[in-house]
Amino acid sequence: MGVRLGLASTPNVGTTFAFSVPLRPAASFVRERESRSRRVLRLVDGHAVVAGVIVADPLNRGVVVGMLRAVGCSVVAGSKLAELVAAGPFDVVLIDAPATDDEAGATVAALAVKPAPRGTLAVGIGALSQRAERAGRLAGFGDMLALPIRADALYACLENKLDAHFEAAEADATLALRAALMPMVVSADLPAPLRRRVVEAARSASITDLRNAIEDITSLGGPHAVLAHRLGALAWNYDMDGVLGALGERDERDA
Amino acid sequence: MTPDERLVGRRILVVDDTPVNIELLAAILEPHGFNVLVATLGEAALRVAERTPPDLILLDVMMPGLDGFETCARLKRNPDLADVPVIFVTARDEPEDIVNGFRQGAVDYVAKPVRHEEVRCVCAPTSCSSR
Repeated sequence: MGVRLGLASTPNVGTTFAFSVPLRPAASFVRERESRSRRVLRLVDGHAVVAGVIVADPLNRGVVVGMLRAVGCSVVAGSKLAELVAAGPFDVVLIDAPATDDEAGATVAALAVKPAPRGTLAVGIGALSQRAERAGRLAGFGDMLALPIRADALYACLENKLDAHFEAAEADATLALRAALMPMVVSADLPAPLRRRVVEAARSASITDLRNAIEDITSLGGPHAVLAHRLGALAWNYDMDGVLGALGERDERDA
Repeated sequence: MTPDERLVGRRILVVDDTPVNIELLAAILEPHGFNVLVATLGEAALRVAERTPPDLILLDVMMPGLDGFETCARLKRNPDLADVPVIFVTARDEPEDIVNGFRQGAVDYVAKPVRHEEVRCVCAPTSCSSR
């Protein structure tokens, strides 16, 4: 293993023991660090992730759900464990970090009642005191994420623990993404009122209006869901020019 | 959460080069009824504000290109946008940074990491003051 032990002793002074253990960086740390330099866009086709989110605080719950849905995960959210377990099985359940060993054990036991084919990964979310981290890890939580939740940490967790694969883009790759998506987007026949809402939202850079419009496009189903997915990827990059270009609406005012 | 009638449709321009920060602020603001506009660079923020004047601007300081201070100064030199209140949201919270922010025309200063209640309390009255 390459472990080195050392001993230096000086009469009437004292003795110093020393050892060194060469360790490679933990894989999860390396992947998380690498993930910060890229923008995760969506799950690769064929890598579906069904996630349950049980977070009491509605703001934190909304952030986690938004991050998961933005990359194409199916998400069911709630504030009560029993109700959510009934809606499973889930590949991963993100849940408030347990406060005690008993709570952690009860959570893992509840998730084991209706597991996904490959088991259900439990991930604790919270301020992560040593006690909470210890309780969760000992009970069988697969990972713990600290608040405030960072998207790169969440996606790295899914990659490391679920082997989920994501399409990602470096910052400079946004134009390439736009070019790749455009033909598919233009080919969809979008109802005029919705088209107008998307265009107005993109022109005003309103992410609120844009995402609401994309949700309404999604609810139309069929080919429009594909269109919504593509527009969602552009919206996730705040690429308003890309949205306008994709709909053939970009003019000199937008230059 | 039921949106606040006074805040529904009020436009807040969030300017930050880190997407997660934008998402966090949007997650705080949208449930109250705010319409969140976004820009990831200072230059883009000026264009968005000129096209769709917001009721309030939440401005990061450390950004590539125009930093937040310079962006704020340019907003204040534009007669059409000079009255739009600007609040800096930044991890730079040394006294000289805060003073500099106010010198550029900001009305308030929020230190990162942001807290839900603080953002809501600061944004609600400030956004209502601009119309």
